[in-house]
Amino acid sequence: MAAMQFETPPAPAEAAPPAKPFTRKFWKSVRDFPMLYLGALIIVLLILAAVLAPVISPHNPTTQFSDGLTESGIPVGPSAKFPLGADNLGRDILSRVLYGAQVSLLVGVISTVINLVLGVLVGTVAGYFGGWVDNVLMRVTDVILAFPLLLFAMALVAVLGPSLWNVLFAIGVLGWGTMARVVRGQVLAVKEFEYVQAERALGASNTRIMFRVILPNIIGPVIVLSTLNVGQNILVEAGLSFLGIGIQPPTPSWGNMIEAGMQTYQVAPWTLWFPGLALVIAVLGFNLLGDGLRDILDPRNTQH
Amino acid sequence: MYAYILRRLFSAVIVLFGISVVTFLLIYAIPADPARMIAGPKAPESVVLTIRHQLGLDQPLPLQYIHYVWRLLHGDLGTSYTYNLPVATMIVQRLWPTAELALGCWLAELIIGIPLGIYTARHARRLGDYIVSALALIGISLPLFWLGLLLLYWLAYQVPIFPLGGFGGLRYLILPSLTYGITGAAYYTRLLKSSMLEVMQQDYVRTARAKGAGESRVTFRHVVRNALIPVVTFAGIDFSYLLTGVVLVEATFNWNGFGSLAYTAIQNLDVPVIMGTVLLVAVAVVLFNLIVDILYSVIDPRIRYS
Repeated sequence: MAAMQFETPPAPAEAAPPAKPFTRKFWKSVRDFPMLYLGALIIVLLILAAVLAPVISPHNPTTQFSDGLTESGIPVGPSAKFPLGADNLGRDILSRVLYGAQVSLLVGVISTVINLVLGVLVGTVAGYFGGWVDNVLMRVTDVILAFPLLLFAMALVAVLGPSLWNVLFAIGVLGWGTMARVVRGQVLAVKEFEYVQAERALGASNTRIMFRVILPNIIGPVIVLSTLNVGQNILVEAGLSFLGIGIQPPTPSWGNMIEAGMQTYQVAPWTLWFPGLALVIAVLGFNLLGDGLRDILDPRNTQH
Repeated sequence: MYAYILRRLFSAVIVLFGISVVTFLLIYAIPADPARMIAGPKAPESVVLTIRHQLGLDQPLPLQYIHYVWRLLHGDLGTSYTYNLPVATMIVQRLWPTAELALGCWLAELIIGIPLGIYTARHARRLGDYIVSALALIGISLPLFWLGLLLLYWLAYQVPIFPLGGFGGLRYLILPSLTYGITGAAYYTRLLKSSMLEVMQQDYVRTARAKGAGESRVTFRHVVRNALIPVVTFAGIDFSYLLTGVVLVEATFNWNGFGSLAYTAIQNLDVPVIMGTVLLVAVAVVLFNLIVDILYSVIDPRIRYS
């Protein structure tokens, strides 16, 4: 490490140009954090695909075209009419992939918001009050974390009945364990700082200290974890739909498209490729953004 | 040390109690008609009535809970309505194939992940590191079942090296294990890399270098051995991922373990089997972590006092 210090160039004349134009600053930060911007770009495209699906889809995602299947019943490959081919029922895969973005984003984002609210609430209260409150809340968190999320959500959806809202609700209500643990750890670290003590000396209420003083100071890790969480929850939804207990056909979700592709992939591999590719790119987008945010929010990187 | 083990045992018992409450609520409190839920949507009304009577579903919930735990403690996980067999027996019959697959998956993860972790740490901030790190990020983002189907398409259908799914000897084990290994290895790679980079800055590593130890001796004798500690801890967390992964991999490769059992149960909405599997997995996770923690406290005394 000592040798490294000689290799690093002397600090560039950062103070010299007083006002860099915005575009140059932007490109510099793109160069410094390429992952962050690649992730953000993917997510923007994903949102556009989801929002514009009704406009840009060549076909209705649930229409079964008779010319989507050959005479022997095999899905037709990519063509002018079906740019990404047709599926086992002769439906247009491109349209289904675009509509699938709606489901993935909806489930991924809303379930994460539920995770976030529950996790932050439990973690903050546990970390702030400590003692028996902490003990009880953390044992509850241990119980929640003992169930792998996909299987836990599977059990709850089995009871509630498979539907978009039940899937979203199940992932949201059961997936907050990690968030609670991380937030609690952060709160424990922050609550002894002078500015928190000062606030208490001024007579601020516990609620105010927890949510107006401590929370803004631990927002960095919470944002990073939430971003990664969206990607994870999209994967859980896809897993549930693949197992047949998530989004039910004919509503397109990338998970149930892959499940359908399982029957035809040997003769029509495109039924497998495109929904899976969309899924990987979407999850990768959130992972890139999450990792990138972690780098940018890490104080050790702020000299850049 | 005994005090630590006792405390750890106590908290495990509390969590197991919590797990039983959660599964109880899922089966008996959330559904509008638990007897109908357990019997299945197609069961005749007389069967539903029998179940309602047998399980005492007309009694108050706390009493029902006590009966439920009593049955669990006697190894009674209920009866599958599709096969009319005890769920516990069905799961036990499928345990061995699943254990075999889980072991294969875990080994594949380590065989891929550990060498890549060592490589990226030794080549940190060089081209090789960037390439492997990018691949690791893609690996984390890959859905298991999709990767499994792609491997089946390429390595079992187009180039028939491996069987097209199914359960059997080593030949059947390789593709499913590889599928899990590719997606899971990235966690080990990243963890080992950051752990090694930290250890490399320790005084004892500098001392080893100063004594004239060669680069690979420093890496393998001094750095890797110390850097593996957090990796071993992660194996405990990984157990939970592994069991989820096994369910998805079994569904993809038609592997005859309890994951396939759960998959079939989902198709039939066979609630007792689904709950039995989930309960078993949760209990396994708690017990596994308990054992890891206790072994750990024996090996590393610092843990006991934290």
